[in-house]
Amino acid sequence: MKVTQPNRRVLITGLGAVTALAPNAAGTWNKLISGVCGISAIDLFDTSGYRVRIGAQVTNFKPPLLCVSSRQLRRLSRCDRFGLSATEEAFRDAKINLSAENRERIGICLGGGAGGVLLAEKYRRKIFQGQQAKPSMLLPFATCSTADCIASAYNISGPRSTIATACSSSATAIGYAADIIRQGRADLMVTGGSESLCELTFGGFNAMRLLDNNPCKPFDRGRNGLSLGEGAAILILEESNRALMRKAEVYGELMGYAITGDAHHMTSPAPDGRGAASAMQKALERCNLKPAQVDYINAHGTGTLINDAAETNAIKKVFADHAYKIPVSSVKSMVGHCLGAAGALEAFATVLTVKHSVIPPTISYETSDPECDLDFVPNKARPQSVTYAMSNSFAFGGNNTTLVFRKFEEMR
Amino acid sequence: MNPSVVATGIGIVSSLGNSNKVFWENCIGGKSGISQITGFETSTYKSHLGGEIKDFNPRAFLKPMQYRKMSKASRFAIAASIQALEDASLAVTEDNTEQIGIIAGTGYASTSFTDDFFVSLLQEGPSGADPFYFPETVPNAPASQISIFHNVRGPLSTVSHNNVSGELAITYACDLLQSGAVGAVIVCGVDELNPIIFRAYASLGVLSPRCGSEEMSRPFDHERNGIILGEGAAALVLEREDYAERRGARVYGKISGYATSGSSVTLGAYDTDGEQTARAIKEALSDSSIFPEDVDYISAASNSSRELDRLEALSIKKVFREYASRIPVTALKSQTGEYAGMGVLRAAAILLSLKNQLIPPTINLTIPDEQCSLLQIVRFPVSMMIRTVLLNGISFGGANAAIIFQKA
Repeated sequence: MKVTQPNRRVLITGLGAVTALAPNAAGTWNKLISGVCGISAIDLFDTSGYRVRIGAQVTNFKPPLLCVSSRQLRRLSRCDRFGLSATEEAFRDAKINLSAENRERIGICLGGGAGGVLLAEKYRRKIFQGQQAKPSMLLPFATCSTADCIASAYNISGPRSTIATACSSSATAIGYAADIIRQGRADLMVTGGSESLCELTFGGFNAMRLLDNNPCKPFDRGRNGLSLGEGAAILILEESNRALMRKAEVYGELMGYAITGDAHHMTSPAPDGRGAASAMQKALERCNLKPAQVDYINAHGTGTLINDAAETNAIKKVFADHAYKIPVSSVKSMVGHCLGAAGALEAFATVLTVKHSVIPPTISYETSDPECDLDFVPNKARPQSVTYAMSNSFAFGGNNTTLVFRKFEEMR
Repeated sequence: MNPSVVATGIGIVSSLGNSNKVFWENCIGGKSGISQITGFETSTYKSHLGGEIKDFNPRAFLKPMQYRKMSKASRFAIAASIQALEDASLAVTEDNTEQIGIIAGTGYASTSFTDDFFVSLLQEGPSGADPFYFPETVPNAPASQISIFHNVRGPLSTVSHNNVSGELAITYACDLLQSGAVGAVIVCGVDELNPIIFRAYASLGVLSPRCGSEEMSRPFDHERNGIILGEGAAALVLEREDYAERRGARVYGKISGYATSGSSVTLGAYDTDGEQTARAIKEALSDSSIFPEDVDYISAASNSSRELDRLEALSIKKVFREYASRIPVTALKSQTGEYAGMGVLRAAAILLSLKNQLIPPTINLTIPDEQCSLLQIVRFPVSMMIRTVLLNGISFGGANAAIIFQKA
């Protein structure tokens, strides 16, 4: 049943993560603000023959045992397992006792990237080599399989959807999930995204020569491409009255979001950053904020020549002189570009920045670039109170998303 | 649901025709778009039929330079979007470009390119992999290509959720329109039939086989034995009512309410108890402030699979009770087969039925399944007063959506 109630607000009350830095939220955050790089040699599949052989691969990950039978777990993809693990952690973190909840009021909206492609590739390789392969390897191929398996594992029956816009998927999913709560269609949403490295994306970015031989250096003059990564981040979004009534610990408020299209090119952003600028602009308008109120921008910051320059242009376009005063950082320098999970991991980092008043750095930063001349919080985290923060995510095909977060103390 | 969302334009690329007019003639005429697949070899499989589009000429819509790098899915999507904008008399200009959004719904989008790229990787090794195919492998390719083609710069996104991808694209578009983010949205549901998707469905055993039985898409029939895959694209122009009014747009109908829900099932399986599928319908009715008896007919999700058709009949009975046997039900998938983004084509058929006041038939139904017998499944076109139609969406994996369309 839809609840009609004006001005429903959305708080973040639970977080979970799996990254190359750590298989959990606390470990990931501690390493993010310590400036640890999670990018190294990949051994998930054979990388011999590739020009670039590094990425931010998740290691020492043990799949959660709590919510699915081992028989079911066997069928799930690596991506689904990351997603389940982060969800388990997020529910626990939010102190939500599902057995006491009306699960019709709990929904899920995730962003997806390559999803179960890693498993489908194994299938395809066998077929290609003339061998038999188990058709069940194809079941988790669909982008929505992570959302479906999480929803089933926790028996949540509210709204369910999956956004599939490559690198901005999970940012859009988070913004949309908040709107679903605002509209009264759910009171609690599981949102975020999950991604697993696979040969399709690794081979594709390699073939397009978009990967850096060394760990990526976003906004650095010597940047030479991105580093792929994998992992998951799950946010529990909760309607504010409900969260306050149960005295939930609040990480921050998700004020709103905007999505736009570049209408420019399938793989390159518009060089003047018009679509990205428009996403930031529209997000500010929607949240009733002036540019000068923004204290921090978590950048898309992939480390490719063109993205970082275009994003810098876009920020200057929107913030004018204030652009030079806003700290801007890219956590992709540490966790890599996690495609379908990238927006979620960055939302995770942004909301913790707002909560803990520490800005994670852009690491591997050595030389400033006249084309990228903002404050990129180089190499060392910065203690600083952040009231309003933005997180940018852009994708192939010009799919741009900007999320806006606010410190919780400020909302009363 | 407030403010109202209206539909002002329709574009169709389908196995029943590549324009609204031809599609509707064939749809109402009970024609089948299903035939022997000719686009690729099926001889090693037990299934050979598909709702394959055979007479689509991309040159009618695009220059070779434009479509050379596009998958079939993207070509279909652009062709449908061109028709829809034209049908809505909506021209994209510098003044309105940020007021127009694009939401696509697709299950697998350009998987032909994904497979071509991966095979080039397997054949040639890492150094020989062909970057040509890679940009189109993202599921957001069709929507992005539409935005580039028309220079539309408003909200742009893609929903991919199994067989309710089209339905969930429509509901996302409605949400964007109601939040005030945008005045109009081009919603496009698209998928392509290609060897890799055919292989996947065939190996999972969900296709109707030709062995000791007839290979056929026959929703609700006692003899149904699986689905037939289809392909195509349908695009709708949806607008906030005031936006459409201001520009004096002709209106096909309005979306007066919707709801979504989720069932807990294992990967690839359907719900069995029908609780959540029924709840989506009930909540869509209440979102639309109407009663079950107000529904004039139901566009069914049923696709000739043993499980889905039984489940859908059960859900309809749960919601409509004594009215269940009186409300006409029709299943478009009997004519076109199933594809993941097909919810938008089904919505287009509903809007055309509101305009023409005719219910299209379910074909291939000989002996209704006992479990579906209470339903009044229409086998011939029915002419009657149609004001309210329920679009029911159910997917394997557990996502459900119900959308109510009404005559404006």
